[in-house]
Amino acid sequence: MHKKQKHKIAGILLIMLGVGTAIALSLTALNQTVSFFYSPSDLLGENKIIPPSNRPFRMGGLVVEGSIDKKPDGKIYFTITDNANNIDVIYSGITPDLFKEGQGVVVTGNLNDDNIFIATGLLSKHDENYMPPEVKKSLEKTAIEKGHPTK
Amino acid sequence: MIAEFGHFCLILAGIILLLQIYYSFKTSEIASRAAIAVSALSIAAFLSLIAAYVITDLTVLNVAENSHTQKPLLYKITGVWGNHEGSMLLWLTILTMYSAAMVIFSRNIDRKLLLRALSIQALIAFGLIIYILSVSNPFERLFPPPINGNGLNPLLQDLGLAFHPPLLYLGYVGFSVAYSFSISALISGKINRNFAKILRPWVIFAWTNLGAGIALGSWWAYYELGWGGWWFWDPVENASLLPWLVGTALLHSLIVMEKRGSLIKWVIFLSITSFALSLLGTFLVRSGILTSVHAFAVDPARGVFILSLLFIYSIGGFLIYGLRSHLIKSGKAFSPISRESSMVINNLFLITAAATILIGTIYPLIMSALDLGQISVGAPYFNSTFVPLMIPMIVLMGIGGFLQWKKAEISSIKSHILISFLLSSLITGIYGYIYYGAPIMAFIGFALGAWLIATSLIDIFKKGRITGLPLSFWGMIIAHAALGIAIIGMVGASILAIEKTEIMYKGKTVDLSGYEIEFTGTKINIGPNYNSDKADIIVKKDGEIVTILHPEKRIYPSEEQSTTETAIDGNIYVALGNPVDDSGNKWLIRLYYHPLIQMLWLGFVLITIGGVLSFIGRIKSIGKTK
Repeated sequence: MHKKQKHKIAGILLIMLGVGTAIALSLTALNQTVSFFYSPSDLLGENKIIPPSNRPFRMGGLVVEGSIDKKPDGKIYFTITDNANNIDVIYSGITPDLFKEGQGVVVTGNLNDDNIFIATGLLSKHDENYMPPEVKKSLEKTAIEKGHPTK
Repeated sequence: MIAEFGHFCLILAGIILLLQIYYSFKTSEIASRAAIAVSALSIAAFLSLIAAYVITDLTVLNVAENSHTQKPLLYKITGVWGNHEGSMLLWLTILTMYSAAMVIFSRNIDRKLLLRALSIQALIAFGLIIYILSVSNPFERLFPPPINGNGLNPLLQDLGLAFHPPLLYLGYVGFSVAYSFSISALISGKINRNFAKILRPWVIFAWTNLGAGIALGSWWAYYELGWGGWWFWDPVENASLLPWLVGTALLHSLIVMEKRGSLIKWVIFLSITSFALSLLGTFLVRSGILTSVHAFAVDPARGVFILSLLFIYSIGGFLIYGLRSHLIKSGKAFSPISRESSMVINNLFLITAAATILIGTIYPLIMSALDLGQISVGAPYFNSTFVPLMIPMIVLMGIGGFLQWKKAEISSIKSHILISFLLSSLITGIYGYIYYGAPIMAFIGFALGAWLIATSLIDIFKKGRITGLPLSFWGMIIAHAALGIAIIGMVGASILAIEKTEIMYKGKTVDLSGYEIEFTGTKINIGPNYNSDKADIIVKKDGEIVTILHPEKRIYPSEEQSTTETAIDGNIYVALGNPVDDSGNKWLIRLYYHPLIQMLWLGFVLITIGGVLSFIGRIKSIGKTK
């Protein structure tokens, strides 16, 4: 009986140690690596949020019609809107297959001093009708603020 | 007519499921016949949907939305599960097939245990059938029919992806058998080590299919998405890795339970968890709440229904566990240094790893639901939590095979460890010499991979013979060594990879890790249901042509979508981007050099082979004991 109890305690301690390590590792890692999502209005609107400068963050919205400009050096200039504020984006790299004007996209990178978003990553989606949930949320927000709630 | 027939089969299957639930609670044999009938009806419904796709019956909404007359026949068929409704029907069909298989292959087990498990299976199937019939009916009619269908997302018109969902589902749904038997056993409260014998073949089968499905998905992402990666720590990928990790833990705990009669509660807990995570895997993806490169548009009403099913079955399972697990007797004790212990410790590592991935995957969802901001958790998080947990696990994995059951003496395995250490140092040294100057993480990876390969080889030598060893032993050795091989491949494909993005025009040559890559222009190419720009890229080494690659940019007119078709030869990977100006002569091109990537795929294939061998070994040994 005594031996059994000892084993039980050892087992419980091991599990606690494992779970403890997992939580500690996870939380430290989460703190250091989480990337935040902002809409153009979050960054330029009245209640401006200053994004952390030490790591990239994500921004999303719709690509403004007629704004895509492909430069000969391979850089792509375009504008992202949430129907309230616009931010110009410079992206260097290959665009995803579904990157189009009017499409919802999410870019990863940082704002420079001129409020131009320098993107290192660009995501649009597999599916024509798909809207990234963050973009959808921010569009709904601006629509409500403007007094035209979207269905 | 075909659609009505399929719809009718589904309704009938739903009614018979109620009979199955009723009679299995009354422990009547009628329940097992009902399970077979439900399975036959589900298969009939699924075949009707396939038939509607083959003839492109555009009066069926699902066909009109997802198919097209001009699509190749193969993709008409695989398109059936390339959409939400069809894939949920496939899930149901596989579930009912598992129930039927339980009836067919469980002739010698306690009838009560089986019949009660069938009632659990029927409850799961019933929830799903209600879902399909109410909000996700693939047989819904469309009037007036359109002139042609919308077509299947071109990214999904691919052989690798065609078989990815069925394999994945065979894995996910396969864990339902472990779940149902476990709940059934919990209700009776009588569980002994024989229970592990019943469960093992099912778990090995599900685990093998799930692993193969994940590997196929990874391979598809590698060559089809054109991003040069094989794993993105995307929420959808994580969702499939979770049940695999817990399934791996279950697989090993079952061995301990069968051999020693220990860990019974733990096995039951893992059985419930692996299926709960399988549900999470399917339903998170299918409910559309994830931000993912793999996410597809979903109607919100469906999301709520699906998530409720997920909660009912997983919380229900854990509730029964909480209420009944005290009935299970504790197993026999074993020494801290024994094979059992090594498996228990590795179980803890696997579960901890699964927990950290689960946290990283659902944390953004919780934050978003509570309106605490939109965040995303990416690769840096997973790399800094998952990898450190895997390192000690892999070290122990090598030693575990040397240890004896019950109580092992360190002194007796010292020499095996020493020889394995020397052998793996030698392998690491060779890689270190070839890739001199690589980051330290690469060497840690090489050493871990080499360690698994070396210990597996020494394990064979330890047996002193090659013939007459059980198949399950070979399954284990091959799967363990395969993980080592895959790890070396992962190092090559991730840490040692070289990436370049270049603007290319006719005659331009760039250097890629000693290879000269020359662009000689693009041609227009007409495919069966697409047009493409196809590039000619000559790869030379020391002036000699190694290979000519033809990456493509395809445009699918009926779907109004384009895809990137990468060209891969060995370690060279080329993706054609977009033209940088209107002349169409200058193209943005992405080039990758992935040393050792073949070992990654080889490792994945061998892990699957290991699973298949173990499965055959189990089936044989069951046949013998009869």
